[in-house]
Amino acid sequence: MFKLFKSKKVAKNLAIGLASATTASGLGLALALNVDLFASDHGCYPAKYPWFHDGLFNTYDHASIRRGYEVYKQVCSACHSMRYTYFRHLVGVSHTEDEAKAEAAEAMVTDGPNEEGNMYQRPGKLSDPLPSPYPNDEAAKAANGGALPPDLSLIAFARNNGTNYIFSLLTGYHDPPAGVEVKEGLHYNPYFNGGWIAMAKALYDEVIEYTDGTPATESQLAKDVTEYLRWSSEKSHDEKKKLLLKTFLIFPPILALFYVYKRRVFTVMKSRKLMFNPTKSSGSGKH
Amino acid sequence: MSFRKTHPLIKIVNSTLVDLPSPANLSVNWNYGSLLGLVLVIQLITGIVLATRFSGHSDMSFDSVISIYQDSNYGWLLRLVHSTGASFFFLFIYLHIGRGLYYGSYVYPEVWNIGVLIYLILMGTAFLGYVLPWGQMSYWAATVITNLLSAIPWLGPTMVEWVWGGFAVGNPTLTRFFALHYLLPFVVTALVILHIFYLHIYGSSNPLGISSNTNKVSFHYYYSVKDLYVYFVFFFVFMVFTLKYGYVFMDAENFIPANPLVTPTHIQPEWYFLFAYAILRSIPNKLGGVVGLLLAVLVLFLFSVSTSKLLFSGTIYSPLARLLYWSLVSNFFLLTWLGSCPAESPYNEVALVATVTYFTFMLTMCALPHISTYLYLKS
Amino acid sequence: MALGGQIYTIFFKKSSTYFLTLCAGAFFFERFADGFSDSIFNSINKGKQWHDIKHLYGQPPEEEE
Repeated sequence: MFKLFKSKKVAKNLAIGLASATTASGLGLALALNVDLFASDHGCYPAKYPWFHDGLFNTYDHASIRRGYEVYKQVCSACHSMRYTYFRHLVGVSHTEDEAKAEAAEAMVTDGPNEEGNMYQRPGKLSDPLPSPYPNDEAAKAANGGALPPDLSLIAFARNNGTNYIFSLLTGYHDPPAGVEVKEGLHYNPYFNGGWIAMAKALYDEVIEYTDGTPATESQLAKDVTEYLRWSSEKSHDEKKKLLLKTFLIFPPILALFYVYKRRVFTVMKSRKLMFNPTKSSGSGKH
Repeated sequence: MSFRKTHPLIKIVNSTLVDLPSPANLSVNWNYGSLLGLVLVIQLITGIVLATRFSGHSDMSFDSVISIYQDSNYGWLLRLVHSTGASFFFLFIYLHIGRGLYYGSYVYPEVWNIGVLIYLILMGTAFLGYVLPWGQMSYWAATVITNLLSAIPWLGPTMVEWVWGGFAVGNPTLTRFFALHYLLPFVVTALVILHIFYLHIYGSSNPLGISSNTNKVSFHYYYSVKDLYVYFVFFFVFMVFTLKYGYVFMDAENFIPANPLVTPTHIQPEWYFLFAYAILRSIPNKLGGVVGLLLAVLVLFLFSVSTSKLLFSGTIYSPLARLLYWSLVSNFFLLTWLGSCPAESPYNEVALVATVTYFTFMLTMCALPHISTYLYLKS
Repeated sequence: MALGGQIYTIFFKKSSTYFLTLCAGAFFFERFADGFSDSIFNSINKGKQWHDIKHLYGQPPEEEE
């Protein structure tokens, strides 16, 4: 049957050449076009930072989550809500139950209606979400010059390259390069898409004081609050990493045993020999 | 005769999974089918459990998904398995189709056509499921895809509003998408049973591409053990992948609740739709794009047309066919990559070329066995 | 060999004891594997998890559960 293509050698070579040229040039062009663009167009690409939790089996740094909560509470929460994080989530993660209850009680929550049909204020409970700074998005926009401060509960997942991006953004504020016109009410930050962000630089050295005595440098503050936001985006992370470790411990021995068993089942079939003895009556087929 | 061969129901199972005569030389490429069955079962189980905790209402859907994954016991695991399960479903379906094209499985017309139908319904199911969490990308994917209907002449605009249940994608759309997303997997299951039923009328093909009637082994103990072994390999890879990269494959935009007033800067589907998306965007005319998108999948039906007289099928008989096959595969990767690029100048032109070559390769591959048979009979 | 033979007759020879051995084995293996992987996990993440640091915030350090 291969004779067919030998006799059509020219056509075959032509076809091979054409097909591979198209594919190769297509792929080559595609790769050549996949070059980096100017940072000023789409924002700087954040550097990769050595987060402890990035390791295959590593948990969050819970002391850092606790400090990050302090940063969020004293700095970020003035503008940003965290609707999907509840005080009860802090228990056993960064705070004891009593501490979390005390944190919750600091917030005043509107509840009701009571028996007279009126809404009333009560201190927060563990089952309440972290308090929002504004009653609704419109109020938030009005108070921030038209820009809506995003909800932070899922922010580490809601931005590409979440943790590195947040850390870079928080520490990336500086004066615009020479020749770039300053925009009213906006702040220059090369990591933000477009370069101009409505949020002012919020973290400075010693802007708050940590209760555990860690020196509150700008990068320490940014690192801790990023760790806290990362935790908020995925509260099941530590459990997940533990399951991953168990997967790595349980599966290889099972697979090794199963592999041997599979080979054993196939030994007879793999080691048999088939003989084909053409006779006059059966072996006249053309091949 | 033993019980398993005489009982009217058990004997069906027996002839499918125990005594089935199977070719002795099946490679790992014949494992994708059983893996697809496993993934289907995983998706059904996780999906039904997730549905017990999900609210199909546009005001609550996003919050209920967040609640599943941060408040319910192992809800995060169910959700991760369900979302990466969809990716693995398509990975295996592409490998399964690729195997079929390489070894010429389309000579079993019923099996092939039901398979393509399963693939089509699966694409629909995956799209409907993607809309359910009601994040930004869910909402805008629903908007973009349902808007394709408006390209239909005359009936289009009416049909779009009929599908939406309103004048834009909204709560009625989400609710019916949830209902359909729950229904379609059962349709797929029924078709899978038919797919296997017809396959066992013919018997599996094998890597040599010739009849295996003289060289069969029984399914049980050979392929039952092999399938189980590959299942365990899959479980391992799947768990590592899910637990390590589960969230990496979710679009960042989908962690933002749907907002009809803010369009994401870069709308793109999941990886398994990117090749079709690239074909859709590459054709400048809207109706043309939709037709191209449909044909990109429907062209598979063409392979099973009048295959009964073929002397050759697949690619193993000819280096030219293999070259075409691998060109098609690289073309598929190219289209997938182009689908993830912004719709800007250089990418658009490359995408147009890639679309043309995709159809050229497909049609040539489809015609080649017929041409070879014709030339062989003539010579 | 004598010990092996005894183990075989006691645990594996009859289907009923074989089944019980499997169930008991699964139970003890699960307890062992769970405890083993937990201890590895805790040593990898020493000082990072909540139970490593909670004594700093007014709770006495707990014994390993």
